[in-house]
Amino acid sequence: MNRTQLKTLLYVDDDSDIREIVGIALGLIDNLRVDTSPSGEHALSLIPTLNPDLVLLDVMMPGMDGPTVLSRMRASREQPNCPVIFVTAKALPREIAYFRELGAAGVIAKPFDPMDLGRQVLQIWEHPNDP
Amino acid sequence: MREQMKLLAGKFLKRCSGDLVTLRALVTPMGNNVKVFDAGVFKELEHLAHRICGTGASLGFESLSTCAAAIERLAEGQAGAVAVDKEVVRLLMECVVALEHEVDRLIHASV
Repeated sequence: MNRTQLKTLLYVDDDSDIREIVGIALGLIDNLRVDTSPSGEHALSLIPTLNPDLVLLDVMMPGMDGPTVLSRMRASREQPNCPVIFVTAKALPREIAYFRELGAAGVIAKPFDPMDLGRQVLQIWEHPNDP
Repeated sequence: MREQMKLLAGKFLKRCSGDLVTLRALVTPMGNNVKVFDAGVFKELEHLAHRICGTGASLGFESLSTCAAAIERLAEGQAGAVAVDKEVVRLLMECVVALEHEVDRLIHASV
């Protein structure tokens, strides 16, 4: 492991069902607190208070999309270096390369297997930017 | 976790029933009057179908997800169009009907 233990995570997605699935799936990780947010704007207002170790962002959201949230995070004073994982159906190799160029630590493809989501998140957390 | 996912799957199928009413309401007017074209309708169809497709697949409803993906692709293909394509509307309605059958089947199977 090349990082400290993952303790807090914020998941941002406009789809309430997916937020619930992620909450259930990541609830299996010991000692991890999972917060969720329904929009990019809302997430940006939460981040200074929650101070999450990791942010998982849906890409296609009405209003502010995932890449815009990431760029706002990077430009902000609070948590400018917080790692971000995109969770998206747009997971072709060229799309993944684009998200990495934006500064994402990794990409998790939708649809995901809820039973495997925790492993994928921890894998990226421990080895960010692995192909 | 499996029990929680089962409960969530039930809630999702119920919500799908509501979404299908919206999908049908979006597609039907285009079939009735091909002169009316609204790009926003296709955007909304794409968004709804995308959500059903992704959530359905994560909950293990592969066939439902496939039906929704077909709607998403058809709607996405209309980006930039300036007039309603009758054939696309016909295919969309077929997909909506197929999705309705699939949701009904899954709801009955879960009872």
